[in-house]
Amino acid sequence: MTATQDLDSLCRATPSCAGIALLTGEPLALVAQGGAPTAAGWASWAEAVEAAVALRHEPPIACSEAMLRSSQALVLLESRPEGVVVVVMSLGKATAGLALAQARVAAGKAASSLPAAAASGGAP
Amino acid sequence: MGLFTMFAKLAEPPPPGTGAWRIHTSDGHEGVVLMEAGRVCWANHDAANRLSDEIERRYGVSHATIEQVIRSCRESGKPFGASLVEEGSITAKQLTAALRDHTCRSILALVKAGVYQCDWVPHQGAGYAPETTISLAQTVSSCVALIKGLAPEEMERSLEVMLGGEAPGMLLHADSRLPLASSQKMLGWTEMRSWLTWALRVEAACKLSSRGFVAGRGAAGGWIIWRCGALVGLAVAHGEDAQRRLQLRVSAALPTWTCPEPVDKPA
Repeated sequence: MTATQDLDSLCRATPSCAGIALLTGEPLALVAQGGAPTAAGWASWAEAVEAAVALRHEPPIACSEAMLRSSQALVLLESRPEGVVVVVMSLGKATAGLALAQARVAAGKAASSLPAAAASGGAP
Repeated sequence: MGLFTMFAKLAEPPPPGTGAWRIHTSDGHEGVVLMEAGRVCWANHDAANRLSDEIERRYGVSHATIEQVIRSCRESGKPFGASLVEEGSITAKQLTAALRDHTCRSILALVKAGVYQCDWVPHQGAGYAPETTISLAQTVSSCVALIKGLAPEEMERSLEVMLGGEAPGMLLHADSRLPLASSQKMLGWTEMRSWLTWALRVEAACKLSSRGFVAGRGAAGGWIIWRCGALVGLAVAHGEDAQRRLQLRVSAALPTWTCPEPVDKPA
């Protein structure tokens, strides 16, 4: 299975998950994705890349995790040595607390694909 | 010099940062900005109202009382405002409000008159109470708020609802990209400039909705950026516990948080 197929399955298996993406490299680039980021108000994953780049560029305090909240969605951006995992959760049914916990579990699982994705540069 | 260019200059008084900036304006007048330990105590310009007149107008302190306090301050070298508080004519809170308003209006009058030179004159501190002085970040934000027709203290109060007095932070106007309030917790000039740029970039990239926020956490602490209408807030917490408290405070307050916003004037 490719990383994208893995992420599609992981996204479907995670309640309220709308999309998962892996970003690696310098500059950060999308290497694999499952689902879509539209619940977060992003037209494409390219906008998730822009957000991740902005968050990592000279913040007041370096953070390994960023959480974006709107009334509709919760987005978790988790930084790992090999790259960034982005998990978009739809807040239709889930509470924010539960969605965050589920997003963290999904990010942990997706992160296992990061080293391979980073090594292959995202090629299937 | 514009407002921010002048403040960039004022932000670099030689250590220990106690003295006066003598400010020359193109209209041939002079102004002064007094500082103690890098904080702004008082500013004046010929074109601005006198602080004593402002206190008389605001709080109804008699002209005779003011004159008498001025005379005794000349003899003792004590600051005028602190002496008024000491002898019970006004409260410390009233003094802080009047001083800040007078200082910011004087600085705006200086900028309007065309600042072309700032000279530093070091001197001994006059003993301004720290609570009556404001940081440069607070001063410039208050000046911007006044230009936008907002009450600086009201803006700061709204900001502190989020900061809880323990985190440095600021409120920004997303459209003009200018600061409208800065925290009571010390925020340095360089920090303010770099945080402002970063927060606005993140806010735009994350496409925050009104009453949405983005929060980061790490081993050393974290930060939170929130949006409400045209306002963008940023707060930074040092330490994991402080970050957790900050995030809880902001996420709980944000749905009902209120703060005055600049109103666009018709062209």
